[in-house]
Amino acid sequence: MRGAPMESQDVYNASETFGGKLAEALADLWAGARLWHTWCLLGWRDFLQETKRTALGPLWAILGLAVTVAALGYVYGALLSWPPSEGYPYITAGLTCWFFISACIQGGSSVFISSAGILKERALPISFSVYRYTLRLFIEFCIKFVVFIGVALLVGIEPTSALLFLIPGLLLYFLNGIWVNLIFGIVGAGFRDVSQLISPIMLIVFLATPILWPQTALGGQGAVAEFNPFTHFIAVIRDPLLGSVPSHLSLAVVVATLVGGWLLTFLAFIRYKNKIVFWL
Amino acid sequence: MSAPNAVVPIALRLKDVALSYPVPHASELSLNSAVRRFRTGGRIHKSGRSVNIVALEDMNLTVRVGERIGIIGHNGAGKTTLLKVISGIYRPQQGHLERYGRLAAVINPGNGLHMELTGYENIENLGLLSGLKLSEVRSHMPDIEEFTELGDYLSLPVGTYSTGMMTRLAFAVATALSPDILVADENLATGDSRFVERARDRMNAMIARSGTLVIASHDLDTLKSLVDRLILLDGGRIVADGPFEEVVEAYHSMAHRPESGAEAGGPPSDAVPAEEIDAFAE
Repeated sequence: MRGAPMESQDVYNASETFGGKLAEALADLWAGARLWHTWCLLGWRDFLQETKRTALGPLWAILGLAVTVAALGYVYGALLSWPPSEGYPYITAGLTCWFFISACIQGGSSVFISSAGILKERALPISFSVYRYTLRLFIEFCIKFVVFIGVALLVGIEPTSALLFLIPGLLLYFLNGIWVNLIFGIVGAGFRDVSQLISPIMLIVFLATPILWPQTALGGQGAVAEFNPFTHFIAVIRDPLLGSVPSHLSLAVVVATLVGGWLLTFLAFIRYKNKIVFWL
Repeated sequence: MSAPNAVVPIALRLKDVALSYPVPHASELSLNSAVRRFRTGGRIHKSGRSVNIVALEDMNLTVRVGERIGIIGHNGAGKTTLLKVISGIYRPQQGHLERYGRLAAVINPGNGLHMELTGYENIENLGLLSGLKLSEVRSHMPDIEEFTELGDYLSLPVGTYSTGMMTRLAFAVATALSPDILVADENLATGDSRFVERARDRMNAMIARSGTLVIASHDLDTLKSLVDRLILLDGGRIVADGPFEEVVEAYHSMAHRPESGAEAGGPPSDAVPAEEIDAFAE
């Protein structure tokens, strides 16, 4: 059997019991994960093909972030009288993380809608589209680190051993990204209002999360930001980049979100897996 | 070949398969009765706030390796839904499905294609989705190129193609990977007569390699040259299943009695008789 073609045998029993549906949902996630070589390649191609008709192509990912950082860094640096050597790297790291998080939530809410064509034409695991899209976003996320490297060289940030925390940090981002894309994909396919509702909410969250401003800017109220899970998500990547080890609290919140998020998503997936294709 | 030999292995088996579509946001539809049956489609069933269309019911079907099956029926009889269940795209809510061998489906060719990408890029993506490596897809490329007869169009975005051209592309990819089971919807008719002829040749070549074919169509002439067994669907049920001529007769007599399904045709052997489904109140 050359090149591991599609499953050559398919035995399906419609299951009406919870246990049967659970096994089916698990099998779907597993079958999708096993196609990793396919979604890795397609995720990469999606990333390249998205900007195919533009002159700069995938460089837009870097350029877009660089322009945002330059503009917001200038404004917020002045606003908070931040020395550029602190303000620019802080904002660059925070924005890089934020763009991935918000893309997972906003893009995730249309992940099934935009892959409707394939879901209605091909017998792929439902989870396949989610892995493929998460990877496509993750590639862009990783490529955007070029901007941080550029800023770090400009302001002279020395690499430290804290950078090792990027490895678990990035892994946690990817694994969280999958469930976020999956659950928002399910909700977004079933309730079309959701994706419309998400953008204003994401703007509020963005401004309320210490990305453009340091937690210390809240003065005595700084601890309030700790109740915002996004604060911790940003911190697990930004802290190592800026040379400090992320706090135990931040790591714990991100790991807890991973476990809780997957549990919730899995329950929704058990219930709605076979219905998604009919909603499209 | 119309009487399947028991020693020939099974390619496909559906047992008591039933499938209904949930219709989102349809609860506002004014449905006077709980169940309403439309002449052309499945039944619309409303329970509480959710509305479902019963698309397939009591589907029992065994297809043996090398059989060539045609599916006919009015619009909305469940032909495409049945093809999607066979292909594993839709999972039925009830019943059992078995399928052996590698399957390729050409149901709605435009669906699987990315309009912004060129023909070549789409071929590569489709091949990757079928589980091939990029190098393997490229080794199939000359054959696909040749069959599509699209020439330089393959370097242009698929969005510039006509429906017929998309069909050619999707069909070329689906058949180039030499599937054991080919599932095709009536879309083949969107190609010109030359393509239809070439597609027929290609399917016949596949059948000669003892491939299994399941094809839905309204075009009885095309079906006649391809299939040796016909299945007639009405209201999501199999109302006739048997040799070509017999089922065509049932189909024609049904056309004259649109209200009551195809009892007049006399469903042979194991087919489920179409029963009158009346609206019943809750």
